[in-house]
Amino acid sequence: MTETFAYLDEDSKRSVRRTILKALAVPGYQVPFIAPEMPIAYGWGVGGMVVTASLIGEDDRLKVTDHGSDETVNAVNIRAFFTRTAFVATTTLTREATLIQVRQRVPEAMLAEGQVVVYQVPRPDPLRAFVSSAGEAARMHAAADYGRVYTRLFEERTGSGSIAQPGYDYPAMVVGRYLMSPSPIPKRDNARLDNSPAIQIFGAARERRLYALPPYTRVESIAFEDVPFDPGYPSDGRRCVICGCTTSHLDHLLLKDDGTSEWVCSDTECCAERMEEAASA
Amino acid sequence: MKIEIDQRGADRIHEDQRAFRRLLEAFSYPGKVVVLAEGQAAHAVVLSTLADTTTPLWIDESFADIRDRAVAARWPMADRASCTFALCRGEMLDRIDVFPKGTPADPHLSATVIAEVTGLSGGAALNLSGPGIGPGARTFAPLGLPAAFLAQWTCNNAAYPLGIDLILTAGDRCACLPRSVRLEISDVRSR
Ligand SMILES: [Zn+2]
Ligand SMILES: [Zn+2]
Repeated sequence: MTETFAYLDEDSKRSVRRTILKALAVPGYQVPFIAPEMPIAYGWGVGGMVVTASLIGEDDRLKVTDHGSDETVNAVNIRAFFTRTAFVATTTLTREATLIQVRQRVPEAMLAEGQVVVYQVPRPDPLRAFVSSAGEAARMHAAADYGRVYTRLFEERTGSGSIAQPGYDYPAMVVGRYLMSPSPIPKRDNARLDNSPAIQIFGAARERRLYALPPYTRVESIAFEDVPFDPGYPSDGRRCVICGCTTSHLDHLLLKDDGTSEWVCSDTECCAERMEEAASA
Repeated sequence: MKIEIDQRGADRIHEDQRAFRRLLEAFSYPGKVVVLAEGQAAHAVVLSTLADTTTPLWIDESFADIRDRAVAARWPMADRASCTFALCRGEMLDRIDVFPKGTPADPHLSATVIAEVTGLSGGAALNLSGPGIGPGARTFAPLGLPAAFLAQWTCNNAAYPLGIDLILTAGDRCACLPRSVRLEISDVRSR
């Protein structure tokens, strides 16, 4: 009879912990790892949960968000899982959290030294959008041979005048060496990965890859000579219907009868904080 | 099976977790001196937290007691050129090119070297730069490294993304130098 904490057995945790240190030693490099099974299906954040389970302890305070929200089914389920299996305290406040598991957003609140942010990643290799063979992608990473990516993203644009850049999961270069998938965060969030005081770890269970950004690591969205990176800020004057914010990442809430749209902050913590500030002012 | 865990019982789950989080902090903020487990030799704590029957070890003979226990625990022993973890004294860091540094396709297949030094402060001050070093910069002054170490570390940097990662220990404390971190002798007098 073996006792477990946070669901995972100790051998699996030790293996994941070794992988995490390798990932921090070579920022942006995708370290192969055998993701142990978790009692949820792939696509619901197994990679993130495996990393969190290997890190979490009784002294932690855990925050979980899904596309910025603490209250979606996925976020609530993951939080409940660790409350049940690790008896851990939880919070919705970034400043109170020691461990933050996220999907599709980087927290908008300021991160601090010592905090660990764990990202759920569906497609860890940014090259797979450009080359079909995993072996060829591995060779390109080993040789830092990323010319084809630049050609695809930028040469097309010069010809057609239209931007082929994706709005999410926009590839970034880590310390000038490894091309990295930031996971499906809006490309404006890439700036929040750069030079963060926190420790950032990315887990992809199905693809069996784990990578990391140590604190204070240079992360640059790729750009090309006369074509600068476009963070994709909207220019239609949209504002949050709850707090009125125009600068946060806003999600489409609904299309009204008159053809206009309503928007709402994706980061529920920051939206709530702005409402509280407005109420107390 | 792990060193000295027989007597630790169920608490070891939490002890390992706590030690790993402290090691993670030391590894993420290079040169930061961290206590892994109060009153316990940090080099042994690193091994008991990370090593097992799947990780080939090279343990220098000055740590014969740990080596005997590792053998008893059926941890695989290896030579320096093929180990995953190495444990040695700081004086032996005049040759770090003898350890595996990975391959271009698999830079993670490299050694993590744990070296016990005289102290983690009190030596010649080194300026650190690279990932993990914040805007305030960081100096680190380990005591008991051989004269040839800095040149060896420069070669280790030049091999990046290949290279070894270093965990320096002294008593119950440790500080880490991942392969991406650069070291420079700090000459405060010229400033
Ligand atoms: Zn959104
Ligand atoms: Zn809002």
